[in-house]
Amino acid sequence: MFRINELFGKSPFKPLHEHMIKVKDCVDKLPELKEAFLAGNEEKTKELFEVICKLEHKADIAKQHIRNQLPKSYFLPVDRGDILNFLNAQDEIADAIEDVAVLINMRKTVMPPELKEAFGTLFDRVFETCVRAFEVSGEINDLAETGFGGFEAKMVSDWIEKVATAEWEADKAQMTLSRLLFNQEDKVTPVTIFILDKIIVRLGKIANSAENAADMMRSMLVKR
Amino acid sequence: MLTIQIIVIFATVVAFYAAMNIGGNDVANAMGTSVASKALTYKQAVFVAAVFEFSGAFFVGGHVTETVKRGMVDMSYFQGDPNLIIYGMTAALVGTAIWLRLATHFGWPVSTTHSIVGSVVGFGIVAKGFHVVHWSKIGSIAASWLVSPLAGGVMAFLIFTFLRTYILEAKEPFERIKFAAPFLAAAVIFIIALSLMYKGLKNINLAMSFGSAAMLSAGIALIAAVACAVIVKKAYGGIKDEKTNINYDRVENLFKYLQIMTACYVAFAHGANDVANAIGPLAAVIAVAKTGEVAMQVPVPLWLLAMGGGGIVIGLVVLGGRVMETIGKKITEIVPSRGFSAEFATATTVLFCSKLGLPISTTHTLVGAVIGVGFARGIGALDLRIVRNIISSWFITLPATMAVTIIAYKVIVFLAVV
Repeated sequence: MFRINELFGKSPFKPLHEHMIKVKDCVDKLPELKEAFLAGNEEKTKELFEVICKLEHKADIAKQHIRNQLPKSYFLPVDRGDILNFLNAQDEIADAIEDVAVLINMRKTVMPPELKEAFGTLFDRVFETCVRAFEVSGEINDLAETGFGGFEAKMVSDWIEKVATAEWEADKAQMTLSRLLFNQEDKVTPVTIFILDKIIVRLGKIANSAENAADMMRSMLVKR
Repeated sequence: MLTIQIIVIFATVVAFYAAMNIGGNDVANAMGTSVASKALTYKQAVFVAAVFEFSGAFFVGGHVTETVKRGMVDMSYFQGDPNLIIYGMTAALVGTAIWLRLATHFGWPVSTTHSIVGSVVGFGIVAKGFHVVHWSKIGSIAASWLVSPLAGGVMAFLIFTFLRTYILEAKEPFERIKFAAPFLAAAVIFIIALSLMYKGLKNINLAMSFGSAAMLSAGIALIAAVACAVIVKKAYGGIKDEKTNINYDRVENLFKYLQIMTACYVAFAHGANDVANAIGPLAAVIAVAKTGEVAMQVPVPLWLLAMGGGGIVIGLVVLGGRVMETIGKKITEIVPSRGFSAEFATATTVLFCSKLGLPISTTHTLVGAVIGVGFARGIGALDLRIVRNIISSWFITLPATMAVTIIAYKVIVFLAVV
């Protein structure tokens, strides 16, 4: 005979929260990566690169798991597309961090001392954006509990605004740094400029993805 | 070869088997949402179900039993040949038992209630032809099968939407649930008490008018509400909500206690509606065997209701406990506030239909109610594949049980004649 629990699919919200924690593990390595990169500590950046690769892989597996457990026959309290887009955006944070770690380790790049401070600031702003975004996605279980509405949703909406502000700060830091970098064009090799520019762009991508994730969360709250 | 006595004994055994099946399968589902949300452990669920299934069956189970016994097939056609009722109703029990066995084996979402209705209709057709079946009654029963999951769904949607907007979406949900809990508890207790006292108690010769039953039930509910308010104040009076980090687990924890009440309510309503599936045909057999003629007005003997209730409880303990244990071990995908809404809606729908003498499927109503909560954005993920299976089961169960019953009838008549 049929059992009532056959009616319940596996809720995606707890796994989404778990995926967030795995991505957060990657983000938590950013400050260390910054210190090692600015200090030119190659041994340390290599070690961090390996750690980040492993953490990113774990997040990837969690992502695949959620995707596979969301068949079309499921009826969900929010749009399926919003959930998958949120998941992708959140996962891209980890991807971009891995890219940064790869680029840092790709070549022995000597950082021009004039850039150090601005680089540090960009790292900090990006990290800040991620922290704000995790505050938002950390509420996903409580949002599911309240049916994505009411006071809880209002509170999370306010937090999403903060993510946008933090991302804007990161954007500004990125522009300042890029300008400083291209000012160095006569002093450093083109390859150094090339690789540092790539790192800057990828760092910006981390913050962008964090904002996208928060935005997808907003669309879950709006379309109710 | 087969004497009437042997057939009656056989029918009793099959009816008891059917009752055990209802206990093992349907009750496990009826209590499943409480076990899944961890409002009850499976052992507690077995205990609650045993007490309230039996009370529902014993005190309120008569209405639907009457319908199954003689509401679907016109018994006056059997005046000259009362033994055919004995053969036929026994065949109906056999048909139902075989069909339920198959459904259990293959995991089909078949309703016990639908099976017995199909079987009794099958018996009417094979014994005397299509004209003896009260098709208008069958029509209203079939309509109730469509309406009851919808009604359960709409009611669950409304209840959960209310709980969500009033409690869960509030700034201080814990304060709200502390305030609302006594009222919610009182509502459940009022309905159970009223059903028990109005009509229910006439079984033990304590008939009460609706007015006095309502007054007394309201009194009991009031006492319960006050007791609930006192307990809540004592246990949680000092605990307050935090501003930004609301602890929803604590809110759900209070809902757990309320869900225990709706679990009792569901078991009560289920017993009231589903005991008829097992003992309705048996009641017809025994009425004929006793008097030797087709009497129009023979009340359902109390011992039969007790036996049906007992069979459900035994089936529940022997077969259902294990089922509920498995449900309880799965990860919680339903929380008590949702369980409360779905169960309240299910039990109310089922109890209402029981009063009207309409045999409906508790499980299908519960499925409708859970989906209703899902539409109110209450459930993380609903697997709607089951809905398709349930709808196909509506179309398959009637012809299938008719066919099995017709074969069983032919066999019994053959054995009785040789």
